[in-house]
Amino acid sequence: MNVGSGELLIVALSASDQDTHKEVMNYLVDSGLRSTLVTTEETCLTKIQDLSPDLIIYFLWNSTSLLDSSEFIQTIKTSAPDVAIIAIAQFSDTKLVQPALVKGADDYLISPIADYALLDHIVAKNLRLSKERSTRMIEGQKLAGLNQQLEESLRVLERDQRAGFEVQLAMLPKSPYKVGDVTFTHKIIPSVILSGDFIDYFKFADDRLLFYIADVSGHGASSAFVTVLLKNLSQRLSREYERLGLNCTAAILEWFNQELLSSELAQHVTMFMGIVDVDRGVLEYSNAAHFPGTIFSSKEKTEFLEIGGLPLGLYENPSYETNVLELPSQFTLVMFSDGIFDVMQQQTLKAKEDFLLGLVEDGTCTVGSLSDHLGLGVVKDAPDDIALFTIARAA
Amino acid sequence: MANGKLLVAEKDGVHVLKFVGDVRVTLGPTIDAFLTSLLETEDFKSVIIDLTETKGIDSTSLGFLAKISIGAQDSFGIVPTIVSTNDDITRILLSMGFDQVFLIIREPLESTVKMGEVPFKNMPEEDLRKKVLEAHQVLMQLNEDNQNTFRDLVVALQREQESSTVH
Repeated sequence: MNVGSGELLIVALSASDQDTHKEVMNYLVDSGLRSTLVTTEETCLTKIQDLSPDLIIYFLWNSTSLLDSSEFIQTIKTSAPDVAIIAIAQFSDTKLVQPALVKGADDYLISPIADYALLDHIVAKNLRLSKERSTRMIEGQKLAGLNQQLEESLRVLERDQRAGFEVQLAMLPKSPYKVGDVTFTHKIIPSVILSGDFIDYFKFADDRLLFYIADVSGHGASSAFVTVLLKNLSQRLSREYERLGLNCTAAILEWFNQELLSSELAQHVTMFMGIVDVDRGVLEYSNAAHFPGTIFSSKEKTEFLEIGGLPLGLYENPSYETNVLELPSQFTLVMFSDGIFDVMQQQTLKAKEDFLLGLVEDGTCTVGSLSDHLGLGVVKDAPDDIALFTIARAA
Repeated sequence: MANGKLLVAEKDGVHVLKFVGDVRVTLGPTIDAFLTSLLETEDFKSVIIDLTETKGIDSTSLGFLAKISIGAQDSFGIVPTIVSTNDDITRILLSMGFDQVFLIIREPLESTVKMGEVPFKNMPEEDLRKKVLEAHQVLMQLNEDNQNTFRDLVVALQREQESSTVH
C-alpha cells in the first residue's frame, strides 16, 4: 500500500523490544519512507532539528511510573508542534497508551503489530495530518503577515486622514468666537475621520456677521473635499462681498449654488445661512434644504425656523427666500446637522425634533450642555457626521 | 448599502424605483449610469418612486432622486411622482424642497377611491387626479407580483459593471 511520502523519525528510548523497533522500521523503509532510528533524547531532538520529520513513531516502554515513557512526548511537541506522533505500546502495556495521548500523541498502535494494513492506514493518516498541520501553519503565518501589513496600511491611511482632519479643523473658524456680545460656538464629530459637515462665520466690513452650517451629501473623504471648496467660497465672499453685489442671504445661496454647479461635483450641499445685524437688531436668513431646522430661542419663545428650499449644487436656477427676524437683546440660535438624528433614541423624526426643541426651551442651549445631554461625548462609529453650532447673544 | 434595497421595474414605459428598508447608497457612478440609461429609454413615459417601504434614506440617495427629477424634467418635461406614506420620510423629502420638484403622494395604495381628495397645488385638478391614479395603478399591478417584476438595481448594476470591466 502506498502510505505517502515523508520523513520518518522512529524514537526508541528503551533498549527493550528492539526486535519490534527494527521490524517496524524495515517495513516502513520498504514502503518507501525515509526513516531514521534514534535511541536517546538528545539525538532525537537534534534529528528533529536536522530532518524536520513529517511523522514520529514513538515506542513506549514499561517502567515503575506510568508517565515515564510519555513525558518526553511533551518535549517533542514543544520543539515540533506540527509533527504527528504515533505511540506504540506493547500488548502487555496498553495502560501506557492513555498517558501518551494526554501528553500529545496523535494516535497509537499495539505491538507486536499483527496487522500491517492497520500500520499502513495509521501511518498514512498521520502523515496527512502532519502535512495539513504544517500547511495550516504556513497559511496562518502568511495570513498573520498579511494582517500585519493590512494593519500597517490602515495605520498609514488613518494617520493620513487624521492629518487631513487637522487641515479641516484649521479651516473651521475659531470657537468660541466673540464679537461684541455675540458668541459663536461649534463642534463637529466626524463619522469616519474627515467630515462632510462644515461651519463658517465671519464679520463683514460693516460689522454684520455672516454664518452658515452646511452638510455635504455622503460622508468621509469625498465629502470633506467639498468643504474645502465651501471654505474657499466663504473666503471669496468675505473678500469680494462689495464687488459680488449679493444683497441678501438668498442671493448668496444662489451664488454658492452656481459656484458648486460649475465645479460639477457628485455631491450636493444643504446649507442654512444667516446674517446677524446687531446694529439693526435683525437676523436675515435663508435655507437650502438644511435639516433639522435652526432653533431660535428668546425669552418669549423657542421655535424652529423654516426648513425646505432646494439643496445647493443640483439645480440650475433655484430661488431661495430671504426671511427677516427681529432679534431681541438676548437670544440663542441652535443648529445641528442631520447626523444628530442617528444617535437619538426617539422613535420618530417628529419626536426627535420635538426633543431637540424641548432641550433648548429648557435652557440646554450651549454646545457643551447639548453635547452632554445628547451623549455626544461617547458617540462611536456614528453613521453620519454630527455638527453642533450655537450663536448666542447675552443681555 | 446598509439594510436597504433599491429595486427597479418597468411597466408600459412607466419606470418604478422602489426603496426598501434603510437605503444608504454608496454606488455613485453606477447609479449615475442607471440614470443615464433610464433617460435614454425610448418608451419613457414617467417615473414613479415608491418610498412606502422605506425606513431610512441617506443624503446620497436623496441626491440621486433629485437628479432623476432634473433629468425627467429636462429630457421629457415630466415631473416624477413620489409615493411616500411614512411621515418621517415625507418630512425629509419636504426638508429637501422636493415638493417643488416632485409630485408627492402621501396616500397609501389601498385608498385609491379617495384619490380625488389628495390636495395639490400648481397642477390642474384633472391632470393631478390622472397622474395620481396612474401611479397607484402601476404600483398596485407591480405589487401583485412583486418578486417577479422588480429586480435589485444595485445587484444588477454591480453585475453589469463587473462584466464590463472583464471585457
